[in-house]
Amino acid sequence: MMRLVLFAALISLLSISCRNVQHLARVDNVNMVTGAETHPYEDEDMLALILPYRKAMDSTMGEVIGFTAEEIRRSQPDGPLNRMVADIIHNTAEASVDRPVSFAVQNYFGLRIDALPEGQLTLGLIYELMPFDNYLVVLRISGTTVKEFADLIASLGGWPVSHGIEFGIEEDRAVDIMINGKPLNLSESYTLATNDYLANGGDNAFFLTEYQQHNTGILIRDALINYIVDSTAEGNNIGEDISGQRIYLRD
Amino acid sequence: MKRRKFLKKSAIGLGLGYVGAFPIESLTENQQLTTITILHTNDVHSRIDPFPADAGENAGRGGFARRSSIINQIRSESEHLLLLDAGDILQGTPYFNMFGGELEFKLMSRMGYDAATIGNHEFDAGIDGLLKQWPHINFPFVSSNYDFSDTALSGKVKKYLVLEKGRVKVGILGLGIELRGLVPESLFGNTLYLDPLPIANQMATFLKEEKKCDYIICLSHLGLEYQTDKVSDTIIAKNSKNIDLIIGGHTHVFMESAIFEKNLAGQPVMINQVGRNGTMMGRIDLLFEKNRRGKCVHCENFWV
Repeated sequence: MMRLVLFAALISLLSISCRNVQHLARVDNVNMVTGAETHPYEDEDMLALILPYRKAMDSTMGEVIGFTAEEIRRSQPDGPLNRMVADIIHNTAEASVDRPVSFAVQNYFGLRIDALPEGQLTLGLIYELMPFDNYLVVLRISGTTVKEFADLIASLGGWPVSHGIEFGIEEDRAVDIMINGKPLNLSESYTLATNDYLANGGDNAFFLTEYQQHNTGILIRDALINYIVDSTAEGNNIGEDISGQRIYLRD
Repeated sequence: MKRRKFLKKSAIGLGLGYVGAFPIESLTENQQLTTITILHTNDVHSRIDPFPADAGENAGRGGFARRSSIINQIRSESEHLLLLDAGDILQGTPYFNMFGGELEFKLMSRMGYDAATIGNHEFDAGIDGLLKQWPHINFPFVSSNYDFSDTALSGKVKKYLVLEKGRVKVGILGLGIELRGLVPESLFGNTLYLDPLPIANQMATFLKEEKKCDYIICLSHLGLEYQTDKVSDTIIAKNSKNIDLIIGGHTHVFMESAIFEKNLAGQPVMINQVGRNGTMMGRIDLLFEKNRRGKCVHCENFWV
C-alpha cells in the first residue's frame, strides 16, 4: 500500500515536471530608421495604390500660397512659429468680433509640425501644421482664470501665446504675468481668443468650460491660410513681422 | 495506454536508461525551437509619403511603400512574422482630411498588419467616421479598456486576441489613453474609458491561464512615462504580472532600443516605442524553446 502511494506521488511529480512549456530563450531588438539611404526600395504595388489618392490630393493641396525667408520653428517655452500662430489667432479674432482681444492661446501640440521650411509654403503644409478642424472662439474670462491658464501653460513647458501676454516660468508655475504691458489683475476680466478644443476643456483646460463661448465660425487653419494668402498678395514673406519672446524661463 | 505515456515521459525525466527503447525524436521534440519576428509602428499619423526634401533630418524617411518593401523582405526571411501598430494611425497629413483614413487602412490591410490598438486620434472623425472606414480594414483592432458597447462600434473592436505562430500562442491586449480632456466629447461619444492597470492585469492573467498563451503583448497608446503619476507604459510594466512586452506610442519617443522594467514578480517586461510618422520601425526577434519547466538549453539571462 505504502509503495503504491509513493508510486502515485512519483507519477504526479514527474508528469508536472515533465510538462513542456515554451521558454523565451532569447530576445533581439533593433529600432531601424526607415531612410532612403539604408532602405532604397519602395513597394511598387503600394505606390500604385497610393498614386490616385496622391494625384487628387496634390491637385488641391500642392498649391503654393506663400513664401518664407527662413525656417520658422516651434519650440518651448517660446518660439517664432508659436508667436506667429498665436498672433494670427489674436488678430483674426479681433477683426471678427470687432473689439479688442486681450491675448490669444494655442496649445503647443496643436501645432503638428516642427517648422515651416524656408521657401515655398503649400496649402498641404498648412494642413499638416494645423490638421484639426478647430474653430476660433472668443471668451470673456476672469483674472483668476487667466492665472490658472498661465499656470497650466507653464506646467506644460510653454505654449504659443500672442503679443498680448507675457510671463515667466518658475518651478512649473507662471510668474510676473503681464497683460498688454500691465500686471495681471485677478479681479478684472479679460478677452481670450483660442480654439474650441481648449475652450471645451481639451488638454485639461477644464476651467474654460464654465465660460460662454463666442464661436467666430472661422477654422484656425483658415485663419492661418488667409493670413498667408493676404501677406503674399501684399508682397511680404511669411514670418517677417513676428515680434519678440513672451514666455521665458526664470532661474 | 496511460502507463505507456508515463514510461515515455519518465524515460526522458530519468535520463539515458530508456533512450534506446524510444525514438530519438522524443528528445529533439522537447527542444523544439520557434522564432517569431515582431515588426511594429506607432503614431504614423497619416504619413503616407516619405518626408519631402526640405524636412531636415526626416527628409526621405518613412512612407508606406518603403515600409512595405522592408516588411516584405523581412517576412520572406522570417519563420513567423507579427506586424503590429500601437495607435494614432490617423491625422497629420491632408490624406486624412481628404479621405478620412481610407488610404491608411487600405495600405495597412495590404501590408498584412496582424493587429492595432486605438489611439486618441482614431476618434478625430468621430465614432461614425471610424465606423465608415471599417470596410477598408481587414486587421483586428484590439482595445481592452475602451468599452464601445454603447456606441456604433459595438462588437467591432476586440478585447483581446490569441494568435498561434507555430507552436507558440501569443496573446495580445490593447490599452488606450484617458479620453476626457484629450479628445472632444462630441467625437468619442459614449465610449467608456476604464482604468488600464487592473484591466491589463486581468486580461494578461486570463490570456496566460485560461487561453494558455506563451507570450503576452500589450499594445499601448498610454505613453512611455510622465513626470506626474499619470498611468503610462512604465507604470503598467512595474505593476503588472504576465505581460512580456509593451509596444507603446502616444508620447512619440524615439527609443534607440527597447528598455526592460521589473514587474511585480521580478520578471522583465520589455517596452519599446518608435517615435512617430513611420520614420522608424521596431523589430523584435523572439526565440522560443519548447522544453520542460526549469530546463532550457538556449535560454539567456535578460538581466545581463
